[in-house]
Amino acid sequence: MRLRKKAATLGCIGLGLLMAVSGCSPSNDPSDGLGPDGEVTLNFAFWGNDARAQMYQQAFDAFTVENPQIKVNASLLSWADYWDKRKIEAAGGNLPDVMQWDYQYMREYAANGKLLDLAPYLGSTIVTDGISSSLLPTGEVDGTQFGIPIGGNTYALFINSALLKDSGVDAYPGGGTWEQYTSWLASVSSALQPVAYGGADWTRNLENFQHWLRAQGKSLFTEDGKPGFTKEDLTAFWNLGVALREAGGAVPADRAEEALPKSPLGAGLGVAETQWDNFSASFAADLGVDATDLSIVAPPTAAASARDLYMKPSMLHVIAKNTKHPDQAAKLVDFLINSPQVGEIFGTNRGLPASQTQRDGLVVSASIQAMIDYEASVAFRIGEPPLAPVVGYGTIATKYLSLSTDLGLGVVKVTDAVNQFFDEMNQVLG
Amino acid sequence: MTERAVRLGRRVSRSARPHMSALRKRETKAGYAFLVPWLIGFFGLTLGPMLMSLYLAFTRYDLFSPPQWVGFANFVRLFTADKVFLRSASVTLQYVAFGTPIKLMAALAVALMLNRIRRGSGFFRSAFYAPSLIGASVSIAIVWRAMFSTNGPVDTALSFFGINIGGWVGKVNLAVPMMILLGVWQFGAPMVIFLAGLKQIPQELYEAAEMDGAGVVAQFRHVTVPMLSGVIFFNLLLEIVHAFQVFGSVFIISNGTGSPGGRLNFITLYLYKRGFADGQMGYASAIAWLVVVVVAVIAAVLFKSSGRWVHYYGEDR
Repeated sequence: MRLRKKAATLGCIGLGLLMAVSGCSPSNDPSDGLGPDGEVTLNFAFWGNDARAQMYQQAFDAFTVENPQIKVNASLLSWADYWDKRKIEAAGGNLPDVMQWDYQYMREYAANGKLLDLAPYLGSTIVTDGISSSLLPTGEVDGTQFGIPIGGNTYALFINSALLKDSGVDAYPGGGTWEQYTSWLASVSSALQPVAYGGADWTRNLENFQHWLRAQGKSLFTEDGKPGFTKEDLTAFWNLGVALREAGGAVPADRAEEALPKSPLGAGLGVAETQWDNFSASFAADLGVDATDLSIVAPPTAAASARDLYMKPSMLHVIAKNTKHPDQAAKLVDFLINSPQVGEIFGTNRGLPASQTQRDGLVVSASIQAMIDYEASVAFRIGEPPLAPVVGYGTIATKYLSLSTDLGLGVVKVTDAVNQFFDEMNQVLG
Repeated sequence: MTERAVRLGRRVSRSARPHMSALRKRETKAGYAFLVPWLIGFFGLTLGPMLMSLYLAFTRYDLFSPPQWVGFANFVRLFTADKVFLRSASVTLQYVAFGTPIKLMAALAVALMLNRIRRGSGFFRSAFYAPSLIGASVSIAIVWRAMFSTNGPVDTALSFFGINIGGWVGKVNLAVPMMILLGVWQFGAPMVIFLAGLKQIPQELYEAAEMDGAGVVAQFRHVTVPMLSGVIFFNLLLEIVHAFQVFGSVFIISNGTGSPGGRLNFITLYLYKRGFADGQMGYASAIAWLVVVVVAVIAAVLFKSSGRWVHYYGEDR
């Protein structure tokens, strides 16, 4: 009797310990698993939406047909949550084996030793012959290849044709100066408000500031990771925003806030908006129209003859340094980059494919043709891509967005905003 | 207070030990055995991380490289260089200072009404309590956002009365009031506690007051409020702590940005963004500990002042 009670007591302690231990152990982590017949499961992570998730699923199904020993376990998150989660995983050393990646986080994770050096696989497991020579180096950080660009895109000006027709204003021809663009926006606003307005406040996009700097031969960051612009530059740029809002060309900041996570153009509040040229599908989905109802023209420029635009890797594929199956991961990357089948599945969802073999698989629809035509039309403005952004770029970009939103809401003055931005930037750059 | 209780408990158990029967001993052991999972959780998942974050508050830690000791630099930066923090602290305090009293008054008012209703009080109690159960959920935050947008139900209803202010979600001056309304709407939990408190007040006190010629207002002031002061104190403390913890609803309503103009950038959201989006874990820990200290000071002040305004029935004074 007594013995039994003792046993029960010990049992309880044991159970408690077991619960505590099993709670912390990675028992539900399939990446450990070599399955019964040498089967390997790779974890894969990406951001996007359901449409992209279905495309990836089709691609993985095709991959598994070719490589029956490799299973892929994919997980989808929204952009912001995606990076929060990666940060935690990186700290714990359990990043997914293969990831969809963004240019702005290349340096941060590569410099901290979280990404796998792909050199041993280049030219063998990962074929790079078909990848455009202007895009491939965007996967490098300080001379080492950590990522393979999936596709490329260029900054563009989107116009909602149906809404423009309602306004009765002539279409914006593309190019021109930012001042011309502002006055065009104002004329659209006066025809449509308060239902809709000319367009998004273009001084809110860090990309517009970057292109504006590039047109003047400057850059966001220098080679040694210092700011490539002065307080005067930023003041001048944000003052263009003051003029835009005074002219009434921009969607009011409070309406833009309400529309989130849709952008003003996606919410049908603005006729025009600058964005990367692979956004047609997502804008069209937000608006509930066909992608051909959006036209793409060249964005305005601060200097007519400058090579201010550039081909940015829309996304890259990277492999985590902590992967237990680097060979299989490299195989998957090669398939996702080069397979014509993947090209057919994704279209331009991930930008215009970087690899020629994948491009060959494209089924060219009207909206894909529009993107190809657009990139050809601005070829004379395309220059060298900037270096992989500095560590902490995400924080700086967030700060830029929140300060320019505050400017639009009228809760901060340009001089204060500029000072706050530089304080934050200096803090991040150390 | 709790410390005293613990000390008292220890003294009792020590003096009782020699006389403890074998049965008592075994039961004590079994008791501890059952406590083991909880103790592991407390030390491993609560106390450990808390002490770690206290250490991190004095470091610069980006989650990639080991933390570097920086002394009080994080705290200096908070108060001298970070305007976003000052704004964040200010909106959080506004929310606490205005939201909590309004919520408690609403809870008390409804509790008083329900206390009088004879028929169907069970139904009304459930109906008023329901928002507390779902109020912190993601779906309600989404609904709230839709309700207070331009041309949403609130805008439409107000325009009917000739008030054209548009949506509240993007308005700098209306964002905090909108959050206060969401908080007040969840008055069910304090209401139920008030109701229980009201039921405890002996009816003879009201009878005696009535004999002395006290009206409804005088009865409320001189009988209900003093008799309820213990419950008011409890609710006040609890709701202040809750108000500091609001996170999910501001995160969703502002899409994680804390906009418009930082008015929804409540302190919890700000420290989350600093820690997990910006990778400034040391700085985020410093903010977290500052919140702990502020809440602790407020609680201490409340406890200190409670001697003067909180009365317990049958207490000798």
